[in-house]
Amino acid sequence: MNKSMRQLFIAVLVLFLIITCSTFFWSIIYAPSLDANPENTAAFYHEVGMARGEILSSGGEILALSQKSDDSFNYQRSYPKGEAFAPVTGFFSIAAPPSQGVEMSYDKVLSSGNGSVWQQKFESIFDGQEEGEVNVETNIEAPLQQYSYSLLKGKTGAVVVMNAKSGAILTLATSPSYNPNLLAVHNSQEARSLYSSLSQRGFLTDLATSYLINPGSTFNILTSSLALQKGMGLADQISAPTTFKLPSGMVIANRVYYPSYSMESKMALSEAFSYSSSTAFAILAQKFGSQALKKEAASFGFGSPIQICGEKGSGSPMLSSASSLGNVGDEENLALAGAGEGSAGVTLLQEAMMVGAIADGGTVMKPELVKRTLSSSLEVLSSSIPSRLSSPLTSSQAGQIESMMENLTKVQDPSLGPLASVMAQVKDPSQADRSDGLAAGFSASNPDTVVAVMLQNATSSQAASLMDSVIKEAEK
Amino acid sequence: MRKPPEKAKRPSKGKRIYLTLFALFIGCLAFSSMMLKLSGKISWPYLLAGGIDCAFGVLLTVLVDKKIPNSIKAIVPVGLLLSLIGITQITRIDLEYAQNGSATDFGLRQMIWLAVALALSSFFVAFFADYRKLRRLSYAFMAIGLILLALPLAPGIGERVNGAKVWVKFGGFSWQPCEFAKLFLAIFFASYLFTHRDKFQEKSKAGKGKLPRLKDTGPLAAVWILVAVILVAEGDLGICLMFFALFTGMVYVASKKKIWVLCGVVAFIILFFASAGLFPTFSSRIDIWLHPFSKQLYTRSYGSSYQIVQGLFALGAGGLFGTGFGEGYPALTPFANSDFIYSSLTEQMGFVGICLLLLMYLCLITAGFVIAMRTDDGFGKLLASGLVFSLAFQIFTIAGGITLVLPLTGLTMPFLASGGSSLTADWLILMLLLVIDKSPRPTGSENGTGLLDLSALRRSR
Repeated sequence: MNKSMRQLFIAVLVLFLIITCSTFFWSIIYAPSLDANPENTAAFYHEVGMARGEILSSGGEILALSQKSDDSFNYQRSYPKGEAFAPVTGFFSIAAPPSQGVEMSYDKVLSSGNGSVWQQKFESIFDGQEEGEVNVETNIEAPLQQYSYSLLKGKTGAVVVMNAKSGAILTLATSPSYNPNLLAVHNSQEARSLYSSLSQRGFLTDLATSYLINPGSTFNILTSSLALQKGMGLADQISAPTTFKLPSGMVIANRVYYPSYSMESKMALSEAFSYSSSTAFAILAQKFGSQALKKEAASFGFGSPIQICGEKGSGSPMLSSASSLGNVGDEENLALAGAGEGSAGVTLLQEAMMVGAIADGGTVMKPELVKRTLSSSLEVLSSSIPSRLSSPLTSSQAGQIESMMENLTKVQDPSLGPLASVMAQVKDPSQADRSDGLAAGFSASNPDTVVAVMLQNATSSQAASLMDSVIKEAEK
Repeated sequence: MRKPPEKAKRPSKGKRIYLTLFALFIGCLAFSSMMLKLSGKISWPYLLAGGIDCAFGVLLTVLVDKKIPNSIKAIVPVGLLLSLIGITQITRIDLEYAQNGSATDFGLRQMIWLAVALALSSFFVAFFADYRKLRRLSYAFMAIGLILLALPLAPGIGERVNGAKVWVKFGGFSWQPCEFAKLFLAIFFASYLFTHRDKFQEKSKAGKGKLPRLKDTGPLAAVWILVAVILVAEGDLGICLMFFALFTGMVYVASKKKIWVLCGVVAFIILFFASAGLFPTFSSRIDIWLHPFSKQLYTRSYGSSYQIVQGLFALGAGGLFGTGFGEGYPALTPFANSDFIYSSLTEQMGFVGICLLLLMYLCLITAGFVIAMRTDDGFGKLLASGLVFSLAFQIFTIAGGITLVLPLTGLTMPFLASGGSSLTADWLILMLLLVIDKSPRPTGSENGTGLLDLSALRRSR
């Protein structure tokens, strides 16, 4: 009997060899792919429990950090500046993977000191030490961001401040906002219920980058720049009737600032700009045609999402919605787009970029939220280099438009002081009973700092006065 | 023929207790460091139950040393260490449940069950003089075994858990009678095969290559089929597979004929596919075995692959050295403390740790085979090798099910998994092995009292 027992024993050894191999397969060879599976809660929990790098303001103030915690997660993410900076930081929660701000766009960088569960195992075996976390320094000016948010508080709207020379985003504030600290709690039920109620109410949509609004007469910058390129001068007379009837019977009318003119009246391009004449620019748009207008818009950044920060290797890049002229296939819609109405939609960031091109002598800079990444010992690991998107205008053309914008401010809101600005009061096509205020501009004494403001349920002058306050604060 | 036992020499007196103390030390160290890390203190029920476990462990060692001095030393310490690691992991998962807001006390209950199992084992070693007497009662054991096996089918007391009806609710607590049924039926089979072994062997009158007459195989085949029918009715193919391994292994040892192994395998495959056709539970298990990562199978509400995929994630999280006790998130896998303790332990201890556990099992299995080989008694040989082979096969089925070598079954990891009835039954199997080791050895062989006496594996007789 012993012979067959020995055979049985060998069979047992073979069975054990099989399970050892299969365990080796799943726990070692296939582990990286298990780790990367989106359903792998344990790997995600592991990441939630790890230390992440800090997110800093341009002055080095801490916007997000990881602190040691006592619970089953080792680290707790916290946001000392809370909701004022939520559009910048985004959130890091057990409820959902990061989907906003720097937490999303630099996710891999912030957690790179840890690696994946699996990676870390091997790294700690071979080099025996943990790497420090990588910190991300943003371009955000913390006091300006805080100030802008305090002005927005209680209202619905957004503020973007951009450096026109470098494209650096100095402020990205929206209201209402959310407190990322409440999403970062380790009680998964609490975090999940807050997350779902916030996303249902739309608090997680960044009004500055992901909300499209009719540009209204702020769009005149674009049409004027096209006119200048076509060889027109500021004094050239263009037709600007009080009302302009479209083929469908719809009527574009000029705003109250505009002195009464008769139907056939003409005025200088600069005058039409200062008075924000909708009819004049609708007719101009028709004259140039949809192809030219589209091309001009594209050179200002229309038509594709703008990358705000991050690249493929750092996380999923933070993108704005794509601004567009909408459907400009026929005369009617082309005229509407020229007046900044109809299906044309821009983000507030796009407004800042348009005005920024004027402030920067005709060059559109790529907006950039992140300044650089730093090691835990504060060595600079990488820096963002300012990059130019396009140069739709010469600097003298930009100067001409700047002078029209200065004049517009004087005509429409003399209380604002020496600013170059555009402003508009627009209807949200989906909410006919509501009108939103839009304003964007810069001060002549500090043309590098461009401010764009959007306020829902407000007039253009309310938006403009908020813009003025932010410009004054930035100058301090 | 049988020789009177030689006067036992005790060349290494006292060593046995050191091994036990070492195992207890390692086990307690693991438990207390995990407990202190996660909750900062060890509350008194755990201290008390742990103390009782250790005391019974020492008592059992002393009794074994006194009653069966020449037996293999590794059995009790390895059994203790496995049980304590199991308790550590079960308690660790309790603590994670508590953090998630639903406190459980499976760990403490397992500690109490370990005390019960060790007390029963001590009693068994102290008062059970000669296992050969069991042969006289073999038909009674068969009856008891079948009744125990069928008990969960009885209306009122049977409980259905996860689609399989193998639990019995009795006096407030649930237990799995099949573990004990396995013991009783193993005794019956060993006894029957020992009595009729010449009929199964090659030199029988039936002639070479032919199967034995129905008269000889009848009772065996009848019990075999009955067991299969009961287990299919209860919906647990895993336990059925374990019984097949037990029977097939024993018949092979008794007959030396490979044809029996073939019969067993073919019968099981037929049973397997027949059940898969008949019962939706089985076919869904095959589906999730073949396509565990399919989105549709992962998210369906009944019979989803969620558990097995979570178990695989846990394996992946473990990596080479594991997260360490108290780290990681083992409780994310449903039944992480029983059916899936293999994957949750891999998460904590890593591939290296789980290999150590498998080596410990292998140590017990080797000890069982050594005992089977060096005893002079044919009944003991069959019983020991059958029990130990089914134990090995059980471990293979579970680990293979979790790592997708086989479809998943409802078996639990011996000694480690939460559950008092299987823990007790597993300890009784170990005690039975020790008692078999008491029986006479062939003359000429040294009375190996080493840790494992591996020389017995080499001696061919």
